[in-house]
Amino acid sequence: MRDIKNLYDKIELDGAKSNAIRSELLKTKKKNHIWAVPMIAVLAACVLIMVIPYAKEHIVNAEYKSRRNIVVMYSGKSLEVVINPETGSVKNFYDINRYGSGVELAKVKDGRLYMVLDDEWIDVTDYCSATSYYRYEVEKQNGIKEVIIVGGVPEDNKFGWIDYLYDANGNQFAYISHAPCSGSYCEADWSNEDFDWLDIARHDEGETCHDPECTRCN
Amino acid sequence: MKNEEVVRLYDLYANDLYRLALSYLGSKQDAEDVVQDVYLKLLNKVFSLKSDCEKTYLMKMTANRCKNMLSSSAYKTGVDLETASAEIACFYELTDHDKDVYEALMAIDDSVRVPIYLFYYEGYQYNEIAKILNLSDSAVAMRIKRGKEHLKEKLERLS
Repeated sequence: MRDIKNLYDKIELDGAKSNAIRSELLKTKKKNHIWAVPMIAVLAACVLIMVIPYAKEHIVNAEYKSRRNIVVMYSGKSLEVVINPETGSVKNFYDINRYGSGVELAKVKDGRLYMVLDDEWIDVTDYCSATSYYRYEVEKQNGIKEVIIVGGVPEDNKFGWIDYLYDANGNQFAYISHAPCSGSYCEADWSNEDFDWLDIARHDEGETCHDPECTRCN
Repeated sequence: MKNEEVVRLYDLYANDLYRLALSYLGSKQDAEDVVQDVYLKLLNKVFSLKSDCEKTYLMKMTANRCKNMLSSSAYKTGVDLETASAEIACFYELTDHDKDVYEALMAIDDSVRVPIYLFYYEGYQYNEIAKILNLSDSAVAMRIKRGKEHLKEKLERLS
């Protein structure tokens, strides 16, 4: 990327054109807006009359909102998070909408599996299989990180996603997951071997399954 | 805003705005026109800019002006990027390598090219780029990642 710096270092406004713009800026007269002054004054008075009764309420609401720390996940789930200012860890959190808003973070299009984040479609087919997954990490406010994982295969809807939140110290404090529920594949079937990627991903994210014989946990 | 104040801003940032406009449009002439438009518009602004945000504000104005220009149907049909690139290479006496880099940059979509320019040349952080381009932080991160991959691929192909 040093090449980009070297390239743009050589690019500057053409000297003659630059001087022409400069002298035009010096001689151009500012538009006269005097006619607008009385109109603006009348409009401002009208706005004030309408706004003052509501102003106090809005100021109170704004103060309340500034103390709240709202985290909105890609899956549409919203949380009110209380952060310890000294350690950066999450002291407590409350679900605003517990189950998200029905946003799907993994979709199939033309036989390919995509991770869908807002308007961005990332083709993850080649990264994913019954035993592998694609991981995307993004930093939110106050050191909070969101990790989105998509795994599985596009065929027969054998895919799914998990959306995790971690605090500034890397501790996971919330997650939401989903697999398409068409046909026989619903949440209950996540234990199926087609969803081994999920087991692997959850272990990789530091979750423990509390099975004393689990080789991934131990 | 007073003429002297606008000229001060012009002397400070005109080249930065020009490079940004050139990243968007690829054409020297159009980029110069955008810079001129932005500063002429400033003359009619009634407020003055705080020193710590004046560059970001001007970059945002430039980005918006470029986006408007790109979305106009007259512009879509009127610019030949190949000729424009050749003109840039000739005017700035670019080396063969610089020319390759410029052509590789121009070959990728402007939605990806501009974040790449702002990140690698201007040194802006993701959140600052997001403000200038009206995008979310994650969209900026994704575009830079994708742009880097495209650029690498194109440069490898060229070499």
